[in-house]
Amino acid sequence: MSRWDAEIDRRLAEAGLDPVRQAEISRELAQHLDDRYAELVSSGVADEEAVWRTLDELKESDRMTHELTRVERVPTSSVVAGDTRRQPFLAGVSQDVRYALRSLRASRSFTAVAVLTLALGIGATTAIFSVVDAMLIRPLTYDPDGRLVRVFRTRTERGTSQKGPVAETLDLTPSIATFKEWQVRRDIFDAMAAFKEREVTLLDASPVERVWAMAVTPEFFRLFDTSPTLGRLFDESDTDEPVTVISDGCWQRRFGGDPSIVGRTIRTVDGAKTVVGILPARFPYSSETDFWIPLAPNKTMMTRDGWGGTLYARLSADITLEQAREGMASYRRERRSESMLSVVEGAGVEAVHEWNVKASRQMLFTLLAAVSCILLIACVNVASLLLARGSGRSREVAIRASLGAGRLRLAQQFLTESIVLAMLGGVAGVVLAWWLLNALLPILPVNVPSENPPALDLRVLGFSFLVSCLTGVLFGLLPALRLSRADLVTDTKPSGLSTTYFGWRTGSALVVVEVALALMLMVGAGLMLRSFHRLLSVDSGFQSEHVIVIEVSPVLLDETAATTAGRSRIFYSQIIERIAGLPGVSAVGAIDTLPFWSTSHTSADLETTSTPINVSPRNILPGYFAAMGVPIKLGRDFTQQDREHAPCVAIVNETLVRGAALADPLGRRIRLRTRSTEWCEIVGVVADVRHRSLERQPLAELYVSALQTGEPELVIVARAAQPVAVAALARAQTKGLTEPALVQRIRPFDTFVAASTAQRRRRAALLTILGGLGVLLAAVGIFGLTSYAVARRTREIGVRVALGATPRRVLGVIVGSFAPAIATGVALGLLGAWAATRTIAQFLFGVTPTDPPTLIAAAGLLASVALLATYAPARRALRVDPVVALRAE
Amino acid sequence: MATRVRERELKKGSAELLILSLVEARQRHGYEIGKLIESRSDGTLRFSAAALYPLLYRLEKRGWLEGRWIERAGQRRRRYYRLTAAGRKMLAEQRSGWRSFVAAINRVAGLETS
Repeated sequence: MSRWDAEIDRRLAEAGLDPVRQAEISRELAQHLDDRYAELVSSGVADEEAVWRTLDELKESDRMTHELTRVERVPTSSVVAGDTRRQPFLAGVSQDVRYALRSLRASRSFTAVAVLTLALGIGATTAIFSVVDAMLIRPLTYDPDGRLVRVFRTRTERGTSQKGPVAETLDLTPSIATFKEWQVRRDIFDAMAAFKEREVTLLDASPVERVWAMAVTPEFFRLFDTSPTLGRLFDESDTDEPVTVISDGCWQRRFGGDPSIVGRTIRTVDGAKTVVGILPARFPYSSETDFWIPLAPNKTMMTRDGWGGTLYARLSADITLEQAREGMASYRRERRSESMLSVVEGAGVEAVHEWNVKASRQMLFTLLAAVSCILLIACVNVASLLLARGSGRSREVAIRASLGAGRLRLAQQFLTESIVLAMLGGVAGVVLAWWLLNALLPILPVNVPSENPPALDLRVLGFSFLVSCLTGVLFGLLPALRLSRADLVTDTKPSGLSTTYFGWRTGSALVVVEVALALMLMVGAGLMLRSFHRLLSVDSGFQSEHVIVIEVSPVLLDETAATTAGRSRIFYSQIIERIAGLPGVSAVGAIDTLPFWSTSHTSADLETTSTPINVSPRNILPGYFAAMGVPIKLGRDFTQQDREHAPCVAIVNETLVRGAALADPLGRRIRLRTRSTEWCEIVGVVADVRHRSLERQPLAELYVSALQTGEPELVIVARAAQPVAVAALARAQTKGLTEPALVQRIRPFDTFVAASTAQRRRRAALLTILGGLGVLLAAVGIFGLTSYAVARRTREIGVRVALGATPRRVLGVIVGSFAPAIATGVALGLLGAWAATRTIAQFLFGVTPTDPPTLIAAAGLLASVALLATYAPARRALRVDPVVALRAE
Repeated sequence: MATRVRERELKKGSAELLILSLVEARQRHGYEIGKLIESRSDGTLRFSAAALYPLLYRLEKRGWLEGRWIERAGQRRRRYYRLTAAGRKMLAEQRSGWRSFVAAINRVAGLETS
């Protein structure tokens, strides 16, 4: 020990050196001073002056301290987090990340709960986003530059009704003549093609099979810039030729990939068709369509709009969609018609991609909003977890702060921890999303394109990375700011009395947010459920239970127009007779188009009025109403006598009677404009049937007897006590008839009803799942917040109990202290739901977006769940022994 | 601008140059270095301990010097500093830099009268 040590140490103290290093420096300096002193003394300087001059060596100690601090900065690897000394930014981050990982590993259950919560939020968001990506963002595989457009005829009809002026805009397929006129607009379109789906009955298959084919104009394949694998595609000369092009799938499946198929013929009901080419495997629509045939326009299609086909075109290279619309504006015409005030016709152009997805867009955004709510709730949960955990770390924070860690530095550390947590949640979320995507696809209430299925591609992964980062900042910022505000005096003590930490204000704010978000989700789910329920309780007009549908039709070989009707009539009579004889069958009938299949409109004249009415015609066989359970309100059903050569008869529905104000409908005469000029006598009135869908009001309907019209293709319906048993027997009844039978499917009519409500059921199911998840997360969050708050107030509770407060009263105080937050959350949630549900109004049926029972039920349920979540931890606090509680702090 | 920066660096580096030069031939301890600077400059240059040691530590930190505690017979343990390979390279650089700096000053200030 040297005499200089005290002086040296006093000066070094401020440099904040590592103790070992300080000792070393101190020794070296002491030696220097020793040498200096010895030198001074030996040169004859008096002792006192020598000491004084020796200490002069240290006189610029401020600078020394400063220099030493700079030089002797301890290497970063051994610094504890919270070190104040400036470091390169990146080194600080990697240090923070390592520290965060260590600290997360140390509290495993916290990390597990937080990561799981985040994974739910991020996973759900990622899964839904991948659907949005596949449908809205990603271009169509067969149209990467978005130049494929649909071209159509627009028709706006303005007229007057009893309610005043009405306008209706229709979207029609233009006649082939118009198509030809538009097709030559090479200034706008590179190519334009028309196509329509058609059924083809294959005779080579055993049993006879009916498949979908696409009838196309020769330019169709040019739209997709495709060339055949084998053979050729259609050209202009093929229009009336019996030729076909087959898909790759069809080639492999039906013909075993045999290349000699090109040039061979396939027998169909409409005659033999020669295979001229095979399409490449990746050609669009290949998954649904096996055969392509030339579109041979008939007379009606040539001249009339609305023949049910579609027009696609490819825009010329330098033409935008907007320019194409402007270019087509010249086809706008206005004309007068006898029944309308005016009819304005024009040409519409829209991107095929847009056409495919526009029906789904609103639903996708609704789902995205719902999962965002869940993600936000998850964020709030994790924020509260962090706060609760953070206040347990107040001593750590205080110690680090007292060692000189600035608030910013501490906040940075906490934020890093949150982001690391969010990243872990993100990784788990992506795994969950992958699973969710597979699980949710069947119940997604949108039509996901099969050729472009949702996938966790780079864009989706990038999205979830971004969401994870944002999430980390979102839930980490509040705790970071809050916790970095350390109180040095109280928190360095072994147990600071720190009720101020994470006090009621922060806790209450989080409860408000959770309740509000969860309520919005619940209202959404509730409205969807109510809509679905309403839909199921709609009076469809028929009784679908016990009804089986037998899709069977005669294969009319060597068909001639003269005999078709007669042969078909005999075929159906035979099979209906056989099915009626099956055990338990109480009624059998037939119709051309079943409810939910399709609906056509036509004009009809009534004897009583001069203006034509709009009706939807259907061909049926006697027994149909009985089989479907449609009540006959007036008059009678058709009979076997209502056949050809007998006077024409018709049955109408109640809507028609009401609409036409027929006071006494029976015996009146009606005439369909499309058919002959024959007048038919109304012999019966039946109840309304919701033919278009359960959601849509019935139209005015006119039933005619298929025995009279000779409609060649019908669907048989049978009412049976045990439909399944009858279905099994029905197929055998189709053998040995006068004509070969093409049996497609035999299934209960309930299948159709379910299919028609499937979209609503999916919406309700998915939103209920999301709503339930949101409520569950919110309940867990509120439970956690209350538990924490109660734990912090153990002492207060102890005091209250010691002073004689009854358990009931204490319980009241605790639960009551959260009640304002819950009430505020409910109020805000209702407000938010009110604002948000306006956008989902279009998905609702039979309920308004502000349906009071739904709002009240959702609010009540959520408030109860929230109160229960605060009640449980409060109960636990009551079991605390006052003595223990008082000692607790 | 660039010249001014280099000038400042050179001035600051002059102390480093002195120290590096002194340990070039053999290792020396701190007091010895301080004494040598003072004596060889005829008392014009003098570093107090407060200024000298932080400088030594900095050079050591940069890897130009290496300090070791050495006990010699009949002497107390002292910390000796010797030049490292990197230090040798730096010394050469600083010498040439300093030389041209001094030459420039001389030329500009008209000190080259002889």
